[in-house]
Amino acid sequence: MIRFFASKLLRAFATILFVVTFAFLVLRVSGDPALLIMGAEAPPDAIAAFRAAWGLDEPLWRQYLSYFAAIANGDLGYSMRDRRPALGLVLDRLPDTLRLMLPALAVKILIGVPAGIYAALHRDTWIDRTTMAFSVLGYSVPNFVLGLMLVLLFAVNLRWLPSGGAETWLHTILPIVVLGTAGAGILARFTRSTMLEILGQPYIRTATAKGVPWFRVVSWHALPNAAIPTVTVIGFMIGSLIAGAVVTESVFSWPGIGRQLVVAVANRDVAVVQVILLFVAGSMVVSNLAVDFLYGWLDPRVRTTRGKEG
Amino acid sequence: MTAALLEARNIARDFLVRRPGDLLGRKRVLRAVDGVDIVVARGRTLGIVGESGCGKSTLGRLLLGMLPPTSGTLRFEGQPLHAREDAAWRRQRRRLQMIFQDPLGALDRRLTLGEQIREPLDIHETADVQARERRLDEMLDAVGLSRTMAARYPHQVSGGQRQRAVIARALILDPALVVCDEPVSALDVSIQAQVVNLLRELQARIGVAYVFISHDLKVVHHVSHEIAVMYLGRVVEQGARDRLFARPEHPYTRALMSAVPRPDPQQRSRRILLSGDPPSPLDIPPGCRFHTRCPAASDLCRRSEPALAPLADGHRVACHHPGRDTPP
Amino acid sequence: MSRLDIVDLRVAFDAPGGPVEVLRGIDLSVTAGRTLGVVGESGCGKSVTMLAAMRLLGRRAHVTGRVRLDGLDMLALPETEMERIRGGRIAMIFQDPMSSLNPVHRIGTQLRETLALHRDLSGGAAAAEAVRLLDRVGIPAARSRMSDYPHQLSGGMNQRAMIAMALAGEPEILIADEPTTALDVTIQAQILDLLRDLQAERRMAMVLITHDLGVIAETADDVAVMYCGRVVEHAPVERLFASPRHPYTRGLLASLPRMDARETSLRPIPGSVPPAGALPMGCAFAPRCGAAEPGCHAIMPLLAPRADRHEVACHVGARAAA
Repeated sequence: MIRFFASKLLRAFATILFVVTFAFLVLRVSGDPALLIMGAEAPPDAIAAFRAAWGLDEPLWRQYLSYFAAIANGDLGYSMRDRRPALGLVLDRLPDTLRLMLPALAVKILIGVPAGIYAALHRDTWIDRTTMAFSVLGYSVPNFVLGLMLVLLFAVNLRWLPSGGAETWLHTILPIVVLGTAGAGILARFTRSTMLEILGQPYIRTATAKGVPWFRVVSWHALPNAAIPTVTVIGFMIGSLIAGAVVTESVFSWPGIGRQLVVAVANRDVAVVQVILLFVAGSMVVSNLAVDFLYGWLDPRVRTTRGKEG
Repeated sequence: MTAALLEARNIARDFLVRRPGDLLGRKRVLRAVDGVDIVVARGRTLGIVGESGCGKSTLGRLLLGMLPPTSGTLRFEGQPLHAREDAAWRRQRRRLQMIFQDPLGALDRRLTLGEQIREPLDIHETADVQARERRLDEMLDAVGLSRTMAARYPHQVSGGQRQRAVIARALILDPALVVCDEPVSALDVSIQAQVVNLLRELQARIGVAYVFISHDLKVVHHVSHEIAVMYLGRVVEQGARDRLFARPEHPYTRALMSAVPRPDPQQRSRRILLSGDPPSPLDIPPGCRFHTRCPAASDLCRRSEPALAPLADGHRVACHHPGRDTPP
Repeated sequence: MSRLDIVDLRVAFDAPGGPVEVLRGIDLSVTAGRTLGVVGESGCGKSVTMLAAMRLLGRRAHVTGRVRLDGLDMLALPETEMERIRGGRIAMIFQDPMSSLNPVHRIGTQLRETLALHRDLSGGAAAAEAVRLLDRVGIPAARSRMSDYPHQLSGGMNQRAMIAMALAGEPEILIADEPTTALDVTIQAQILDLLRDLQAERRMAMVLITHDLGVIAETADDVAVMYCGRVVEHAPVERLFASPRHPYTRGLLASLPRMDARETSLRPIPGSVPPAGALPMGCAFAPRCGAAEPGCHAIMPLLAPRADRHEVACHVGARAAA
């Protein structure tokens, strides 16, 4: 088990290294932060000084190495724009993002999973078909389209909710709905098909044939088995929470790290971009590890070795 | 004595396996086939029988050259069996065909039965198109499929008809040997009998040899001239069909035969019950590998592994106490 | 003395082209202390009969007829009553023991579930009874196997655990649906032996569903041969094997390879089983039958009760026996 997780961690580390390197190269090659931050009209010697101060005049490989040397010393770099530690800037914004993401995750799970189970138990009835129609609608409408439609309806026409900003809890409702809808749709569909497959298994028939009441057949015999693949999908969702913030935060002018990332990329503010990417990659890695761990906990076939019988 | 068509000398095959559940654990060596000698004569049938995990399917794939042996040698029609896909391999392929258990899996869902039966001819471009069509007609007749049946797709016909198509495809290039792995196990008895009869008729007519692998002693008895009984990767008894069934020598063969339920209520409870399950092929017992379940096991059996050796009449058995059901 | 009577049981499944009838009027009965063997080829309805009787077919199946357990009509009972019968008075075991046990629960836990449901046992008493049952069905080191999961045991051991679970409710009737088909022949012999012992020991009624006439001959007291959703022959086991009357039964016996026969060619039944949706008029076996007469293609023969308890649904066979 320890070796299993050690290899997982090693692979996760390699993934993060790759992501960070890729982002570094793309950002450095695609634009000049000195010009973008100082402005094209800035005096040439000021730009040169900026370059010298941030080490931008050194060869790319030197920059790359010193970047990693700094990381090794626990220094994730400074924002070129705000001249403050990048980590601090991102951490300032993180709670605002989580304020959307965690409720959105709860919406996905609390609506998606029960809806999927309910549809599976009522297979081929109008309940099932209606649920699945909503599910398809939910995940096939793009985030920004849904966001704009909701803003038009609830903010512009009905004036019930604010269209953007982050002042009160009312501001969180629309973004949470937008973020939660697609995930809930996907989860509902996935949970339904998983449940149907499990309900067709011989051990479900065994349970019924030994007189287990239907409610317990579903809750004790089917659900623990259906949980195994469903947890994987939820794990991926948790991993991609922060990444999913970019579009929605932009639509609702939400001051989270999604919008921060958009601004930082526009300015080629490498340190900030890298910190956010580390968070994104880190959350994926952590949730993947969590899924593997949960798998072992949920599925005895992973946990235990085949014993010698007799 | 006819000349040997296929000859396997002391072949073995190892697999590296992970212990189940141990996702990163050390791999272990599983010896699925362990030192097997096989000779198949032209136009004859060698039956290979044994229970799950005895290595019979692995042996079948070794004999086909689909899987290279870890050690030992294989010769087909006097030539080493080629595992590499070159010209010699292609020539051997034509002479060496296979039939598996699941005919639906062996057939392409998007081609009609006729197209698939003719396909080997098309691939090997043996003759002009008209000659190929004539050959297809011959094969359809031989396996008892009509032209209308040949125009159908695999899912439109019954399991028995699918297996007939698979047989026709295996035989259309006029092979010298067909390795059949559980060819009738998925079929109902009435259909099973049709297919078994068909295989025998075809052998009588065109002189093809079979290696017939099955867990079903009754079917193996019916089609084979010679039979090898396998247990945990080894042949434990081998000999002519009638000799083997009249006087089985190895306690495992004896138990296996007695365990087969007979369709005769008058013959109940003459069974030799073996205790327990076969050991895991990863955990082969020392000494004779059958001693843990053997009703006739002695101290000698726990210490030394008997070799497959001929008795006075040439029948071969790997047992210290052949012919016994109780300890000596 | 309990008995199960199945009367005119019919089952149709919903299909795109309208309902397809897979059971076309089944009459069977099982009595305490006897084993009824139900034999037939795939699709003949042998498993569906028992699943329908136990109301385990789900919503897509339309079931009519009567299934009486000591006079109680099981098809008309409320579901909660059926739950008490299933696993209590009537227990079932199935073909593939590996997938018939829940992979995420321990053997002991699954066994104790039945004890809790039908015998109101929990805690130490349930654990002790569970160990006793595992021991009875021949699982070595029963106490430590309690905490094993199904994947940690062999197929044979899992089938023993299934049998222990079936015994846990102290059933009057045990339905075994192809209990040894997925097992090797030496393990099959062990399991059949165990079932026979248990049946005698507990004076249970047993229904053994199988495609294997050998298994029937070794285990059953009475035999019902099924073809295309009907019972075509019904007789005590010795009579059925000694003098089969239905051409289908004869055909099945003639197509069996036998180990004691020398070089006799098998005599297969020509043709194949027609699909349930497209049965011919009259006797469903007539198109494959060597003895068929013109009347066989028009009038469906019925299984008529006879004094010698050897019943056959065949115009020709019934006349020959008379």
